[in-house]
Amino acid sequence: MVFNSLQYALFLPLVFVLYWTVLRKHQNKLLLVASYVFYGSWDWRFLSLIWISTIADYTIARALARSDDDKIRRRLMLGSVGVNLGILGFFKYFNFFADSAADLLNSVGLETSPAFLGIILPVGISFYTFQTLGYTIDVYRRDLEPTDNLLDFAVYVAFFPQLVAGPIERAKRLLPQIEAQRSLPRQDDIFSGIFLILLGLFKKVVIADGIAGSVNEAFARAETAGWVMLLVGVYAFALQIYGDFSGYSNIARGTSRLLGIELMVNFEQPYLSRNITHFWRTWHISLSTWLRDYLYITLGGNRGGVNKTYRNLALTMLLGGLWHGASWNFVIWGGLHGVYLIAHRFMRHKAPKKATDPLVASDILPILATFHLVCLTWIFFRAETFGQAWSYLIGILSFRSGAPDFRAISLLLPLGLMMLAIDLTQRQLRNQTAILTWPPIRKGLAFGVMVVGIIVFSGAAQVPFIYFQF
Amino acid sequence: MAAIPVATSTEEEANRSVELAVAERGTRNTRATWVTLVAVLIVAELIARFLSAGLADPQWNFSQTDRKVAEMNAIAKGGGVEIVFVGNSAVNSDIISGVITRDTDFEGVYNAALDGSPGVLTNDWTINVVEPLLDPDVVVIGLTSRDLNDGSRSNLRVTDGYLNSPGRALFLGQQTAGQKADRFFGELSALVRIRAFLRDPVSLITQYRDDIAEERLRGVDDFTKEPYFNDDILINRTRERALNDFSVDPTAAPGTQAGAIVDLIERLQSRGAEVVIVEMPYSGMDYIALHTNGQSDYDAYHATLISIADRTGVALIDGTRPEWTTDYFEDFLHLNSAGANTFSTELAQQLEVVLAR
Repeated sequence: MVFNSLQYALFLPLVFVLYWTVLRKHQNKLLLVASYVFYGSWDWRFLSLIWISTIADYTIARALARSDDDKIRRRLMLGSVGVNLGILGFFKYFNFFADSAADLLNSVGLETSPAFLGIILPVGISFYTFQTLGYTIDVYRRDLEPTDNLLDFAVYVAFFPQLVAGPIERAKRLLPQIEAQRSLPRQDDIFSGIFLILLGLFKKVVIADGIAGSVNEAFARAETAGWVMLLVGVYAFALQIYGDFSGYSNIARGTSRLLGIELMVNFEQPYLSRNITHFWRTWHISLSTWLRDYLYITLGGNRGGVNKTYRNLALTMLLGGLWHGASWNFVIWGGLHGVYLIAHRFMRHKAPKKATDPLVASDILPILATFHLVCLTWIFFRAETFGQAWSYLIGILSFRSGAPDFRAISLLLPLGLMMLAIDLTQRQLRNQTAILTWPPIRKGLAFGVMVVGIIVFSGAAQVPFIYFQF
Repeated sequence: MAAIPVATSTEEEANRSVELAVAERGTRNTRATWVTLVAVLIVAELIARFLSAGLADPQWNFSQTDRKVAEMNAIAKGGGVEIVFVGNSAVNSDIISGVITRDTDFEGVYNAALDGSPGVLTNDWTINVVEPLLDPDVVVIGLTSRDLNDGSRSNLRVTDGYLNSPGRALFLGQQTAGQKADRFFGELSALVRIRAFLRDPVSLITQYRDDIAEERLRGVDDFTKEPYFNDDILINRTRERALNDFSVDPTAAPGTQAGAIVDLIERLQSRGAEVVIVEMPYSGMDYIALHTNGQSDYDAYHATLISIADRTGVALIDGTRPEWTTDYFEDFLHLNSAGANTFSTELAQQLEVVLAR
């Protein structure tokens, strides 16, 4: 079941009504059943993986809290890492490593063929394994008291608004909200929740799906298309992935708010970033903070001198790339971002502005430069193979001749301007629901345009959320 | 980490407070907001109703399919036809039903080919729509090398468009809840009904305006209005687009597309129809050059056709004429009217022979 489907349009109101009326005293039980139905609609067999993760981390965290022996605690912690990364590794990376190992052996003259197992990637596996792993690490670090309520913990792992594509929530934020009694939402909660869902649908259905065909066409013709078409294709993908993923996060937050639970903000106008560090403070925030807290700091962070800081940055971004998928293209994507971050850290002489500080005219050039650096990495992210990415890049850099895709340009301009208008409005007021502050007629016009856009674009072939594959 | 991170939970809480405060301010004006929203929807609906007056009602995601279904429904009321042709645009442009009728004894001839139709689409279209409506005694399947290419993106796109069309779902009684809802709301609202046009007005108006569609089929450039072989831009565009479109993977015989043709023949035979396959004409080496690996790709396709004919026991008519120059063609693959007349006349004679009439 996806957010932009008829099933979800029926599912959410049903859950909402039951949640606040007849099953109000059993909200967490309802949330758990609803979450399992939501997830099971893809493939019920993979619920077993969620159960394994849930039971393992619930049990290990409680054992961690009971033990003062460092050796035992460390073993328990490694047990949780083993279970979660074991599941993730098997389902997500087995084929990749088998293929890479076979290539390596073949390159040294040892003929072999990779042992593919035809493994299906369960939806959202990277998100919920990181979420449960984060919980156990927090308990291990004594930053968090484990819950003794299995139902609450199971809801924390499987909470349907953010189960399959985040935000990757921290137990410290989400678990207390699940444990607490929720009071009836106020009118403004409902209104802003619905607005977030509407905004998310607009970003997904109109902007991301509207431009998706042009992206597919450009990347399919990476070897032959002219540079203008290819360049427009990269801009289009930058718009598509942002609309797709931030739209998903908006719908997740809006849905959750209707259920009285607040999820973290996952995007804060990342393409308006003045530098690459700002970009990573505003893009997929729940993942970047997770990597910071559980990987970068574990590696030593910036405590071991400049060189170790650079090493830790590079490793964090490489693994962040690999988190997205079992492909060398993702590793290159992460590696490029690591290089950017190291270069920016090397060049930085004074304390930078905050990522969300107001924009001024002199910010335009740095914003454009940062955007283009990010676009370069999107080529590797989107391409299906390294060869395709390379052809694409060469096509642009060599100014390969070829006809522009006027249809793509005619879509990119209005859709890009709409996204820019949304981001500038949000940035100006530092708020995701900033449009709600507009005067009533202007606000009504904006809502009208969004609703008409969703009606018009919702009949097209459904494009899956990009981050579902991760 | 200094370089990657983010807002603290305190900042997030502050942000949340601002959002709620904003929302509270926003709710004070809801009546005016709702009135404006409804006004926008009414204006959009009125514009859609105005626009919809001159538009077709696309059901099959392709105007030609809509038109042929309507024609076949009319023919079905008269008892069907004796011989039907299926395949892609080459069959549409090269085989003239009137010539076949004139030169043979068949009572009722219909060309049911769909432009761009590869094996999988031809299979579904023939089995589920054409055969049940027209109940033909003979089905002639015209094939070109691109029809059997499993890696062609345009083949996949065209097939997806057809398989997911509301017209097909309705015809087969397989409408999903979403399609039923679409149909219900489409009857109430022009905005819903013509939204396919509104999403992509250029291509859909081009597709649903018969005069423009005809020019495209005849290989006339949209902008220059030049005939195909005088237009280098158009020729280069064809070459570029064709690069991944015209190759058969010889290691995948029978692949999905070829397998669909075998399946189609066997199912037609099981229903009592006689089947003939035709290797359609092409414009010499210019066409061969469109294949990724040139002649070897074409040879693989040709070998696949022979293998299909042997396996299913149907006649294979070789319609290729390597000696034909571009004088017979509109473009690399489609015959012009002189070429189509000549080819159809020859084909009629060959059909009489292979069907022993």
